[in-house]
This record gives sequence, C-alpha cells and structure tokens, in this order.
Amino acid sequence: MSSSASSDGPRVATDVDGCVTLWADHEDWWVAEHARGQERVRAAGHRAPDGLAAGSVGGGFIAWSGTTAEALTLDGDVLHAGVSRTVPPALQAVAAVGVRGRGVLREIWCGVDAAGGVHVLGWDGESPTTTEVRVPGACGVFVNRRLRCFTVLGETVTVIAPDAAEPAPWVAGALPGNSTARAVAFDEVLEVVWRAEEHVLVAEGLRAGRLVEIYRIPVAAGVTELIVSGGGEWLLLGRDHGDDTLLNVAARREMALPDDVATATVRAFGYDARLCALSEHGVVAVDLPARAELRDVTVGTSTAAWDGRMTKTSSVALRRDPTPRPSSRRTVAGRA
Amino acid sequence: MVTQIMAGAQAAAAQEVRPSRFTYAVPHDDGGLVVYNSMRGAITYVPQSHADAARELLGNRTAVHRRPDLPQELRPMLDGLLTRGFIVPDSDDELQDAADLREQRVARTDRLELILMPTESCNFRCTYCYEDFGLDRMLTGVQRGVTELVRRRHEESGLTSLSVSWFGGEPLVALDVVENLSEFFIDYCAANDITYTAGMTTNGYLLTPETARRVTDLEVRSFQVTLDGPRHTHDDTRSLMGGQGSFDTIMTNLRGLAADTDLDLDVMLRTNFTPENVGSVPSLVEEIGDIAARDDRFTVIFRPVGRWGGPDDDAISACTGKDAELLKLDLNLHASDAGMGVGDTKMLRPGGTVCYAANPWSLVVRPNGLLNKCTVALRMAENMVGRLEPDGTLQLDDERMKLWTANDETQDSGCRSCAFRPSCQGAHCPLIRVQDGVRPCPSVKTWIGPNLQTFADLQRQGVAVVGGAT
Ligand code: SF4
Ligand code: SF4
Repeated sequence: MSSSASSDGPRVATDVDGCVTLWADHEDWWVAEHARGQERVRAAGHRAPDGLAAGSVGGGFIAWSGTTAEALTLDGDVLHAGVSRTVPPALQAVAAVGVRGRGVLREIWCGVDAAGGVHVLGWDGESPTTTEVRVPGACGVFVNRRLRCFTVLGETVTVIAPDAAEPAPWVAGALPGNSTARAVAFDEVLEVVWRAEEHVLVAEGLRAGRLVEIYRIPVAAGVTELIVSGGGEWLLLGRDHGDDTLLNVAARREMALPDDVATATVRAFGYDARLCALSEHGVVAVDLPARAELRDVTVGTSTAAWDGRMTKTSSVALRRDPTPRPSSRRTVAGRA
Repeated sequence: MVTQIMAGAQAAAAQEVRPSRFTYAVPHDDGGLVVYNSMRGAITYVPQSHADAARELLGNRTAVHRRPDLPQELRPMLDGLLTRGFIVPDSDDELQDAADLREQRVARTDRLELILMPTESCNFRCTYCYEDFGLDRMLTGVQRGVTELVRRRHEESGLTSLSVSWFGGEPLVALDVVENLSEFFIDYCAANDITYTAGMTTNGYLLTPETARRVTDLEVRSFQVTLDGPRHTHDDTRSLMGGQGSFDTIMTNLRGLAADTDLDLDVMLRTNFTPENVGSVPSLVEEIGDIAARDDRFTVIFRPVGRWGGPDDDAISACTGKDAELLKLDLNLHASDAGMGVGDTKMLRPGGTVCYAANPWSLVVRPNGLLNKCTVALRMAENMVGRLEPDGTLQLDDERMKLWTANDETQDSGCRSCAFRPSCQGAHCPLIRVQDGVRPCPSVKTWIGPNLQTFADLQRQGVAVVGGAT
C-alpha cells in the first residue's frame, strides 16, 4: 500500500520522499514529479503492471505483474529497471524496507496475496529468498521505517521484522471490529493503525507491544479508503460515492476537498504538507494549512478559513510540465 | 569541593596589578563575597572573614595596586586573586585577549557542527511549540548531501572535529535516518582521524532503553529530554498529537535508562516552567530524584517558557524578567538538594553563552536541504541562509550568513566594554539582534548577582560549576 490513491487499486504509488508518484492507467504508465517548484508529469511507456509500490529510497518503486516483480528507480528523466525476481502470484499489496546487515543496506519486500498469505521477499547474497507467514485476512502491508519492520493488517495486527533468513513475526493484537472495518491504514509517525468503521475513525497505537486505542473521531459515513500523510497529521478519507474528505488529526476536523483535488482520480500526499491531484495534464498541488492556521482561528470560522486557503492555494499552485511537448506522452528512456 | 581564597596562596611575580575588567565581585547573602572572572571561567566564594580584603582589592576597577605598597595583610589575598586571574598584571591587554578569543572561535575551519533534522514531523503537539511540522523525513538526496558535505569539508579544510546534533521534529520518529547517517559519520571519522561527537534533542517518548542502546552504539550519547512538571502539568502542555498524555511513557523510559547502568550516555532533563506549573516543579524534581539522584549521567535544567513564535503565543502566560531568573535559580538549588546534577554549569566559561548560530562552522540542515542558522525562527527569511546540494556543495548567501556570524561584539561597542564579554561575545542570541536589533544579553548576565550567588552555593555543594575549573 502506498500513501496515494486511485480508483483501481494499488496501481499507483508515491515514493518514500513524497516527491514522485508513479501510476498506471489502462495501458500506460505515468510519472508525476511533485516536489515544490519541480512539478511535471510525463508518460513512462506502455505497460500496465498489476501493482505498484514505493521502494525503500527516494525515487524508488516496485512494480509487479503476474509472478514477476522488479525494482524501478527514477534518475533524472530515466526510469531505470533494477533487480527483478519471481514473486508469489496474485499479490495485492507490497511494501519495502531497507534493512542493515553486515554493513550493507538491503531492500526487503513484503507482499500480501489474495488468500491472506504474507511473503517476505529477501535476498541471500545473489539469490532471492521467500518466507511465508500466515496472517488471517491480511489485506494490507505497511512499512515502519523507524523500526525497519512491516505491519501487516488482517484479522490481527502483525509486525514482521524482516531478517531475510528468519522473519520474526509477532502479533500485537487482534484488529477489533475487523469484520466491520471498511478501510485500514498505518501511520508510522504516531505508530497507529487507523480503521474506518461506520461514522467513526478509530486509531490504535502499538504501545509496548500491545494495541491501545488513542483516537475515536466521528466522521461522515461511507469511508472505504484511508490514506495517511507523511507527517501523520492528515488523513484522506475516500468514499465510493464521492464526497471524499480530509481530516486533520490533531484538530480532529473533517473538511471538504478543494474541487481540483476532489475530482481527481489520482492523488498523493506530497512532501512539505501538500496534497496533489495528478493527471496526464499536470500536477495540482494544494498547500495544506499549516498548524498556525489551524490553531489561531476561532472554531466558528475555522472551516471557512481552511476552505478559503485551500481553494486559493489550489488555483495558484496549478503547474504543468514547463516544457510541453507536441504530445505530453513523452516516452521515458529505458522503460518504453 | 569548596574553593575559598585563603592566606598563603602563591605570590605572583607581577608588581603592578589591577582588577581584571572581566571580574565580578558580588555580595553573598551570608556576608561573604562571590568573585567570578568571565575570561578565566573561574568562580570563587570568599568567606565573610576575608571579604573586606577582597573588596579592598577588587572594589575599584581602575585602581592599580603595587604589591610593595600594599599593607602586609592584603598581600596573601592579592596573590590568591592574581593566581586565579581575578586580578591581572597592569600590562595585560585584556581587550585584545577578548578579541582574540572571538577570532579563534569564528576562524576555525577544522570544525563542523551539523544540527540535523531527520524529520520535522513529531508525535507531540506541545502548546508552546513554534514548529509547523511541514517537512517529513529528510529527503534521500539531502541525506546524500550531508555525507558528501562532510567528505568535502575534510578534503578541503582537514576536519579535526565533527559534531552532530539531532533535532526535529522528533528525531527518533526517523530513527532510520539517524542510523544511516551515523554509520557513515562513525566510519568516515574513524578512517580520517576526526573527533566525532553526537547528541539528540528528543521528547523522550520513543527513547526506550532498547532504542537508547541502538543510538549509543552509534555514538549518540547526549540527550536532552523535556518534562514540564509532574504528570498533570506535563500532560497539559506536552501531549501526543491526539491530545493523550506522554508523561508516564517518558518516565518509564527514564527509569529504564537509569536502571541500565551500562548505558554510556548523558541525559539532560529540561523543564519549561510557567506561572501555572512552577509550583509543582519541585515535586517533579523529587520524582526524578527518586530515579536518578546521584547518577551523574542525569542532570536537570529549568527554562521559563517564552513566546517563541508558535501559534498559541498569545495564550501562553510566560514567566519573565527577574522573577523568572530567581525561580530558575531556586529550582536549581532544589534539584541539587534532591541529589540531581545541575546542567546549567557551562555558561560561566569563556564562550559559554555563545549561541551555535553565531559559529560560521555550524549549520542547521532541514529535511529538504534548506540551511538555517537558528533552530527557532525556522521560516524567517533571514534565517534561510542557503541550500545543501546532493553533491555536498553549499549554496550560501554570504550576507545572510553574516547576520548570524558577524553580528556580535565586533559591531557593538557596548559589548566590547562588557565584563561578561568573553562568555557571550555579543553573540548569545543572534536572532534577537536580527529580529529586534537589540543587544542579546543572556539572563545570567542581566541578573549576574543572584546567578553568581547560586553558582557559588552549588559549587560549595560539590557541583562542578564551570566544568571543573574553580
Ligand atoms: S539565535 Fe537565539 S533563538 Fe536562535 S538558536 Fe540561537 S539562541 Fe536560540
Ligand atoms: S550581548 Fe550583553 S552580555 Fe553579551 S557581550 Fe554584549 S553587553 Fe555583554
């Protein structure tokens, strides 16, 4: 899973720096760079992977199709293909973390398949290794970079410390209301598992190896997708019938999305507290309100103040590829 | 160890002598005298029985004494004061010595101090905090830039000393960045004979003994952790992002650190006090004393909460002026009584109150590669002095750099004649000069009398007030 969204599953991923988003539509790949001042969108070839996920370093991604997955790295204008390996079929989600061993930083992947199988995909020297861990109902895998481990959400919250040779899973606890949870996500700043129930978001923190409820925030009904911003301060709440909203966690305030973002099919939380709407036409970046702006307005007028700022910012921050080509579908070298 | 000036001190050779322009002699409530010299970083308590003699010799700053002309009974005192630098030969050019002190500091090219923000994200939302948490983890290219900067500096200027302070946000939220860069620093410094030290300012929530072991293994050994009074006041001001309390977790962590006597670290516990919480700070001190009394790895410092530019500034009630200073000093004595080490002991040293922002070799690296000087006014234009490139080059705005590094005693005749000059060098807080255009005297100088009395008392209780020098 990644900190970005589209209407058709995991075929969109934002890199760990929050500066690049890669997504696939029906038959094309697109690369959006959305660091402040460097916004542009380019086509990246004609290939439709089954899934995309962020790699463990900035500009890095993992793409998989069938039983093959490969690492991709954006370097300048070029999307380089890196290691490629066989993976179990029908992966639904993948996460990656850099693990240290004998002075070397190695990227380990963790994939969740459609049947609740969790696969830790490492490398033993030059050869790939796979270890399977069972997590009933596994539906998402998230990285905790601080602890260099994975958090797998299913009927339980299971933490997997991915020693390539011997993954060490431990179960922090059952995911309460698992059957009623409409969406789940993990925030690595607060180290909490978010889940959307009808009319309420619940956050449980992993504290001393246990799950402890730390938030219960009423929200409008119908949440089917949760995306956490890099700093943990914002949640994007997706709903099947539209009406997606944004929640500021610290202030517990839910607010409507600016129009440009609300209508986009691909969105990403970007670096420096930005929410980006991405399409083949360009990047619309909204500066999320800074803390000062959330706090120093009175409750009676705060929603209006946020809305005002977001609408205003979205219109001035509209940037497209600064050097548009005859067709903006420029093929990216190396991955055509 | 009590240091008193007694008869029988070694006679010095100088015949014509005068009080150093950097000597303070302030009365102690018990009738004695506290004598301090900011160039030597020396502080001494003179008991009442000898105080008149000391006053006689130090009272008139411009008086020149000829040893042979002094009454016999004053000569041992003169010798004692001369030995410790409170009195100096009349020929000494102390102004030049002070100018040299500042020059030696700023001219160093063999030193690099990096204040690194591995993230500006934080799991806390303190009411008085001035950060707005916009920048997440340090970008991959910026991490590369940091390692290349160290490499370049060494190749170009021959580094002898690298010091790294991890700051944030909450640095332990991005422990992986701390680990990645620390491993480079350790390896590179060891291979190139560079002295390496590292510390961290953390809210303490994630500083479990296990994490402490991980980071001390990476040579991060000095920690500053903040506690705002006992549970009920701390949790009011230093809550988690969702408003939950953090006190119990931090105390559990501190207990774990204290119990693990093999952990080689220093923990400075900082308490921010306001009129609301100050009454309950002593009970916190006792609680900490139960954990870490007489464990010299732990010290405490106290700071009045200021209006630091955060969104809640108007709502903050701040302790100010002399009241704040006296409360602070009182809390220091209380802590010492509770068996806790007092951390405010370096201010009396030469350079002891100079802010890092005033050092040309000190830079704050933000997670997006922006370079700042001051860690407070992060978004102030004058404080954005440049950018770190991924290849380690620094794009610096020289004029902005000078606002922080040359805006000191060299520009201020008042500072040049100040008795506290060697400690402060007119550079206690360059931000105050940049922002308000006024002289940034540290509170220890403004309220020098009560400070010296308190430090002398602490010294008599065995606290090494100026890092061992007396
Ligand atoms: S310039 Fe002033 S506010 Fe900034 S870090 Fe230095 S002492 Fe603190
Ligand atoms: S700023 Fe104040 S304390 Fe510092 S040197 Fe100048 S006058 Fe002295």
